[in-house]
Amino acid sequence: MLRLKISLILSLFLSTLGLGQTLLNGYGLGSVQYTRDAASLGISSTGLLPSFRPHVSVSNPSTWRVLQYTYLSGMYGGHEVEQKNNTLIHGRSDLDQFQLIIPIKQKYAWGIGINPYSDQRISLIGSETTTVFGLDTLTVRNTISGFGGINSFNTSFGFPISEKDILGVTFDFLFGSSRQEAILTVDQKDYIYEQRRLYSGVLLKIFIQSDRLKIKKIPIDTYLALGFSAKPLAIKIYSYQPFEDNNGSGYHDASSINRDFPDLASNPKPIKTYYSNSFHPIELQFGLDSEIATRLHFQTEVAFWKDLASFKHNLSALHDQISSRNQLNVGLVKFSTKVPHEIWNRFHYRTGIYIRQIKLDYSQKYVNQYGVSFGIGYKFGLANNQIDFGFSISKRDGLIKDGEIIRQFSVGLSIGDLWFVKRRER
Amino acid sequence: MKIPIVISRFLWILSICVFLSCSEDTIPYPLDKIPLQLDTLILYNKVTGTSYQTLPEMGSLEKLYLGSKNGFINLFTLIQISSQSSNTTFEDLLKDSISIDNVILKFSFSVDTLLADNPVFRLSFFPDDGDSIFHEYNTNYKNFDISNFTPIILGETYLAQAEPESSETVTPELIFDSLNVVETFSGDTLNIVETFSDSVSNRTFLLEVVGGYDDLISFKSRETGDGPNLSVYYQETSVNDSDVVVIDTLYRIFPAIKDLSVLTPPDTTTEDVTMLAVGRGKGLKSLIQLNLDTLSYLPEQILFRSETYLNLFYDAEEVENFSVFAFPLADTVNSWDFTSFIEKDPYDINGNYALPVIWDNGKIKIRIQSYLQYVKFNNLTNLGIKLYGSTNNDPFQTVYFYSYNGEVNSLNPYITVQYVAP
Repeated sequence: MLRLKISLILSLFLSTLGLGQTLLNGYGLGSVQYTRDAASLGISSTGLLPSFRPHVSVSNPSTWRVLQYTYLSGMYGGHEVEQKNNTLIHGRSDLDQFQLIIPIKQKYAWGIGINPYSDQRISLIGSETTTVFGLDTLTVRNTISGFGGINSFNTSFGFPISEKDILGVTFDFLFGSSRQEAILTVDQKDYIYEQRRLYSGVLLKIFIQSDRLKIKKIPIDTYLALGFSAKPLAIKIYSYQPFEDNNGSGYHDASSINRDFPDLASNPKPIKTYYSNSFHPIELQFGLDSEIATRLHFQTEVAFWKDLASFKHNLSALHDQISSRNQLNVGLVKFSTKVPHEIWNRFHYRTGIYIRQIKLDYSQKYVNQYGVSFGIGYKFGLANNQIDFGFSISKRDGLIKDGEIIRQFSVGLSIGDLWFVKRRER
Repeated sequence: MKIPIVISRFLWILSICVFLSCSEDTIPYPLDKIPLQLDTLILYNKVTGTSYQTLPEMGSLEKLYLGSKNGFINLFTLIQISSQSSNTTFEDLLKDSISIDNVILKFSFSVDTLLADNPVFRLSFFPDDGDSIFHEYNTNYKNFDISNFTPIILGETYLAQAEPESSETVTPELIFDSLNVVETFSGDTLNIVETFSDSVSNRTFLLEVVGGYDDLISFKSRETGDGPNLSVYYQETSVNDSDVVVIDTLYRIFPAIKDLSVLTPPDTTTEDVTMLAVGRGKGLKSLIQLNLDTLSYLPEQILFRSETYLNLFYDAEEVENFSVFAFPLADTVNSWDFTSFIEKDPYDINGNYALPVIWDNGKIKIRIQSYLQYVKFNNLTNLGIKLYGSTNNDPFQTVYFYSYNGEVNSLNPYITVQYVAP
């Protein structure tokens, strides 16, 4: 078991070395992760609905109290974006989530976790153009690169507020840094402008799970989530003096051969700018879960997300930002038996479809995404450990001509242990 | 196989596979607007300046001049010989075992052909005038009066050119020989080697053209490595280990360590006063004043491109083999009016910021990219720019540039700025 845990940690760390990008990373604060865990990916859910186990979602703290064991979960995922018009393929893979969930006496629950929140990795190159400046004819090309993003350290609580209603609260402490590099190439000479950004903010999300609803005596679990910023995201930007990269190193250095201009030693300090209210999202999610047959659940969810920030500052690589994001998804889950005897009964089977629409603020453009997903989960071990696989394929229109095909996968491993057990007195 | 082992092995394989499968291609995208923009600016009527005149600067040139040209009159040329040749001094050559055969002073002509009218050259030296006659960089026609010295004529001769042995080129030379023992007008005899062996000897010669010359004659100076030199040919007697008397025929070459042509420049002209002038023989240099108020309106994080120039039109049809140096001034200019005959050049330069000068079909373009950039950074104060000529230039040539005199003129200097800025 120790070897397994070590393998898990090391392999997940290795996986974070992977790089990748998609065009959405260049809008606003980058592309925000919609689904963090493999089980939710399997049914195309945002994490609100219980896809991990019956009545349990790894990403919804109001569902955790029914867990018997403490779980340490790691989610590793990636996606691949194929651009049809020029057949470019971009991929990324890294740690999606690392979480510890501790149910307390099957009444309360507490969890902490860390996961990427938004991704700003991007590398775009424009076409070469010819410009006339006075008597000079210059060839000009633009390039934008972005690195880094925002991470979240979160802590969550789940506790009952009535016999039929459970409340969950998640605090997402946002932190992170990113670097944006704009390169203007004029007659084969690069002029580089860099900015570094530091982020901090706090998001709050309240979950409510209720089993009050019944339709024709069929119980329907309802799930509601309301998210908003407890402390709007603040950005501290360091803008560095642009420089002429004469030695082609990509860095402002003091090489003695083909020295960069201006001299590194003479460079003024970066200009610091502070934006205190640059990201102010509000979101509302509503979902239903109904057991329509033995261990077979039908789940549906609708999610609304909007950025209320007075975001007039042009901070993103592509001079636009996501102003709203809405999603509708429907899924089916066949859970495993509680005490499986046959191996096929150890599996959870998941599938789902979703429609997502994103609106861009400045261009007023709509980006639509349609997808289908599949997933399985496998229980093993005495502590009900579980490994989950989720896969999704979707089509996205509106960002580039001819659209994009997105393939996404996630692998989750949840290792259980028994905590807070009252020992018998000898 | 236990399931945890299977899973751990699976995880390792998965992480390696996924790591290797990651890709990051640059996406082509219509990036018509990025946080860095290119722009250009032309500034007119922002450049003024003046010339000023110091005394002629003829030291450290690659040629020594005699004769006259363009109103310049070369009075004479002064040469100081080194006291040593390798490890041999003049005193070493006075040993009893040494017998001096000949002492020759040689000048190499700067062109390959003899002058059509072969003038007579006269050589003199200063045995009785102390340990120093001139300073290579400070001596000029204003502070050097030959009547304060008592030069003694050593001889007169013509330029000569040896017959080439094959297809080689032979440079004409001016050779004064038989200098080892000199008979003065008063009948005294002087031994050159003995005179130069004195520790307080000035070891200085004066070369002049007898009766003047209406054109310019030039010899190679010491800066070329083939400058004037004094050769001493001698025989040294010694006894070897077998008690046999051996006579060696040897020579030593004593090179020039200082050489200078002293000339009188022509009178100051209207162009010298009203235009921006550069010329070493006349001692003309220029100071340029730039009005950079516009910089304060440009973006804070501006980056000037190398195509940022100060453009000055010159007043000549063609200028060849003429180099101009431009540097930021290190001192404040007290007066922007023409001033002449300043003893010492009062305007130092900031040598850290050499400004390249490009000759471009009727004008020079001084690259002021670094000047504007470091003024913008407040690393440099906008005191102005100094223009002066190279030591390789023909000292008798003066180039004039147009300055802004308050009137609109297509030949007025102007500044072109290309920059990028966020």
